[in-house]
Amino acid sequence: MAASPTTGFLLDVSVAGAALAGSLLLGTVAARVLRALLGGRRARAEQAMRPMVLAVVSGGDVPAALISARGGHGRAAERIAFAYLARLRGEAAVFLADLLARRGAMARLIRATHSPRAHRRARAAERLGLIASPEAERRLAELVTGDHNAQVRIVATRALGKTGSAAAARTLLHSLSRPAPVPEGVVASALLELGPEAVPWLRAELAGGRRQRAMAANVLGLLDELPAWEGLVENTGSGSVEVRTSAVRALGRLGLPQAIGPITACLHAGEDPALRAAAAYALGRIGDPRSVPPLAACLEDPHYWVAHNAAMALAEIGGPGAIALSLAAAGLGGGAAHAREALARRALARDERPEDPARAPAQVRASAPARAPAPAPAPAATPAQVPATVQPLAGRPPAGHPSPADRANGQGR
Amino acid sequence: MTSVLVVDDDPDVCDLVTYKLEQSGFDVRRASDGDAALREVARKVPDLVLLDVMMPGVSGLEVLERWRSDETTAGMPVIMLTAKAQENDVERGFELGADDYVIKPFSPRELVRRVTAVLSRRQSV
Repeated sequence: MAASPTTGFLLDVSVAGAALAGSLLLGTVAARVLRALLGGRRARAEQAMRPMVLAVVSGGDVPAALISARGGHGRAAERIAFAYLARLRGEAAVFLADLLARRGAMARLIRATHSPRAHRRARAAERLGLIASPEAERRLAELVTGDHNAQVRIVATRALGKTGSAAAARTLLHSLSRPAPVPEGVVASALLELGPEAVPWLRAELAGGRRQRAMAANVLGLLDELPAWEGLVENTGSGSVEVRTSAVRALGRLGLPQAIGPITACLHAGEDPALRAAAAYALGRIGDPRSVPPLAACLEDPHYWVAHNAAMALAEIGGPGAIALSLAAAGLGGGAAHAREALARRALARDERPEDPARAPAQVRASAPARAPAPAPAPAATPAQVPATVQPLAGRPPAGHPSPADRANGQGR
Repeated sequence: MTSVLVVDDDPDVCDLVTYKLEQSGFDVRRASDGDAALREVARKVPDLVLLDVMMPGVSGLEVLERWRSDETTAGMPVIMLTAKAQENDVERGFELGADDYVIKPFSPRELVRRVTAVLSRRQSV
């Protein structure tokens, strides 16, 4: 009996499907075999070149075979050298950079930074940062300020930070004034990576443009650069809120009691809430009991982060700070909630029960600072009014007072 | 021969450290994670351990804590290997009884100096 047209069609489809599946299977097997072969060849090449590269790390003579290696062996040698270079510093890194330069890797990388493909430029920039020669630095500086692709600029910025060069600090700081600057966090990380090499430029930029001053202040604080404290103090008194806040925060990190006066001046009720919150935070970091009265006066501040940071700072100070919190916690004002939270956190940190204000010795209570009048009325802080520079000391804000991190993540709106 | 156990999940770091220490006359053993390090030390206590902090599974700090709580390994010299971004771990490492620390990226020459210094300190005690 002849097959119907439908059956014939189904048969054709089945045969075609089986053929397609067979081809796919064959293709997959072929790809795996090819990959295994290439992987094996690559592993053998690396095995042959690795001892030679390791000898270079130790300062031995560079074998001629390592300089002249081409093809798979040449690529393996460079792969290993770059991998080791990322993990080494000191003279071992210099030996490897010299090896790569002698193999012509530098010239190839510089050419690659002119590639029309962004990922090639970025990869070349990353490797130039490891080589860290003056020529590499110059090209990286051009990429940081001139590449049209934001990702390439970011990679070049990070790479410039790895060069360890003082001049790189200047390029990084000045890149902040470009029309499309690299995100500040990336620049800050690169400056921190430069470490002490960046300090002279950072200190000089404390008298520079607004963005440079704010960045320099932040990074100097993170680098614990104590000798910069006077320059930082000068920046707490005038200029933009961003610069003043950065300077106050840096002084807090340095922890110098000499800075208490200028920081306390920033707590004044007429100042920007972001600056005041940063000042409260900084006073907590310094931890000097002289800061207790001005901080206690902020406990009932209408701006959430000012009052919160003041309470946490008092807890950090401990002793008279904790007594001031106990007195505030016993009250009914808005500061009582912040004070109770700070006391509870302090007790948890010390693994004890919160202090009872009624149990404080009478003479201590008498010497504790009287509760200062509430600061001058100011409009309630809305999330939009508190810039991302405000740093909470700890804890989560109540509804309506999202933290800067929440806002950055799009929460709390 | 003085034996050193290198514990790091990064094979490139292990290669570099092993090569430099062997070149300086040490007998080097390797472990690629915390569990392997615990097993290696249980098998034979080395004269010194170079211990990475951040590893998959049991962390370097946890490994160090276990060694310090065991009387056979409580006095074993340990140098922590830590990335620059994990400098906070250094303090914790010292609290747990680490003898020294080396920050990555590292200088091989400095690493050998520190290993030698820790070993001579221990021998003089």
